[in-house]
Amino acid sequence: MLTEEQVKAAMRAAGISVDIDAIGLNDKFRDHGLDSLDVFNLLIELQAETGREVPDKDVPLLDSTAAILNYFKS
Amino acid sequence: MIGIKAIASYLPSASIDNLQQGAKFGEDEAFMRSKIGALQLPRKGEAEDTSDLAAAAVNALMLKQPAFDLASVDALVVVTQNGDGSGLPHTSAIVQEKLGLPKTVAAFDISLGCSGYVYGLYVLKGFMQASGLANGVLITADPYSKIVDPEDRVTSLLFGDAATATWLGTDPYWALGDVAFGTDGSGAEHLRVEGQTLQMNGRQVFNFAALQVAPHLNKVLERAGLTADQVDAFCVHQGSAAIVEAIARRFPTVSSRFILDIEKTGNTVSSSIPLLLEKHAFGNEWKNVAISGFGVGLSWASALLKR
Repeated sequence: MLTEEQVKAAMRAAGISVDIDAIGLNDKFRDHGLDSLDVFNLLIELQAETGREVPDKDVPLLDSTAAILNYFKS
Repeated sequence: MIGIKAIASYLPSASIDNLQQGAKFGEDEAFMRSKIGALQLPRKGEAEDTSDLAAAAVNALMLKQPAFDLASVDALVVVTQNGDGSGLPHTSAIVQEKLGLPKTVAAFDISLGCSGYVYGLYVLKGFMQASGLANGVLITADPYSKIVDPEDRVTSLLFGDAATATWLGTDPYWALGDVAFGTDGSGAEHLRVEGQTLQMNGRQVFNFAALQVAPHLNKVLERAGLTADQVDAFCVHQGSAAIVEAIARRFPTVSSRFILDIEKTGNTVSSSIPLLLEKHAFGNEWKNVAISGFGVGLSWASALLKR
C-alpha cells in the first residue's frame, strides 16, 4: 500500500519543482502550483512503483495526495 | 562513406505569440516557459505550400555551402505527412521542379512524423549506397498549421512550421553510426488526423516519450559500445520542454547535455532534430551526438552521429 512519503518521493523523482514538503495530505495539487504535466510525471512514477496503470478517465480524480492514496488502496 | 555534410533551414518570418495564445487558454507564463517551452510558433504564409518551405530550405543550403551545387543532386527525399495539395503527386517531385533540379534526380517522399529525420538519414544513405549516388538532399517539411485547430488547447500551443535541408554525401562532417528503430501501431489513435484536424491524447503521447525514448537511446549507446557520459550532446525531438526534460531526467549524470532549444520554433515535427544539429552540432569539438525522434505512429528512431 502506498504511503504519503512514497507519494512525496515520487514527486521528487518526477522532477516536480514546487515545495513538496508543504503539500498537505488533503491539499489540492493545483493550489501548490502543480499543473497537468506535473501530474502526468507523478503518475508515471506511481505506476512504476505500484505496477498499476491509471486510465485517462481517472486522472482528474487524482488531485491530492489523499485522493491518490485512496485510489491506489482500492 | 556517406554522411551529413551540412544542414540549413527555413523558418517562416511570420509567427504566433505563444504566450498570448497560452493566456487565451488560461495558461500562465510559468507554465508556457517551463512545460511548453515555445514562446513563438512560426507560421507559413497563406500562399506558401509545403514545397515552398522545402525549396526555401534548399536555397538556404546553397547560400550556406558554396560547394553544394543543385546540378549535382542525385537524390531528393522529402519527409512530410502534410505535403502539397492532397499528397498526390509527391511533394518531392514538385520541389524538383521548383528548384530546377536535373531530371535525372531520384525523388520520393517519406511518410513519417517526428521520427522521420532519423529514418530519412538512413533510408537516403542506404539508397545512395545501393545506387552509387554521390549527392543526396534530405528535406523535412511538415507544416502542422495545415491540420492544427487553433481552438484546440492540446495541440495549438505546440507546433511551429519549419523546413530543413540536409546534404548527404562523401567526406561528411557527421558520420551515421549505430541506429535502432521502433513502431507500435497500437498507439496510433493517440496522435492522428480525424476529418482534417489533428487529434492528440496529450497524456498518452507524453507517457510514450517519457518511457520509450531513454531505454531506446541506451540501446543505441550499448550497440556503439559507449556510455552516456561519452556522448557530447543529446539532440532529441523537441516535442515540448516537458518532454525533453522528462527524457533528460532519466540520464541524471548527463541531463545537462540534452539540448532544449524550442523557444522560437515550437515543435517542428521532423525538422526539430536537424534544426538542433544545424545550430549546435557544427564547428565545435563534439565527437558523439545522440539523436532520437519519436511521435506519430507511434514510431521512434534513435541514432549516434560520430566524428
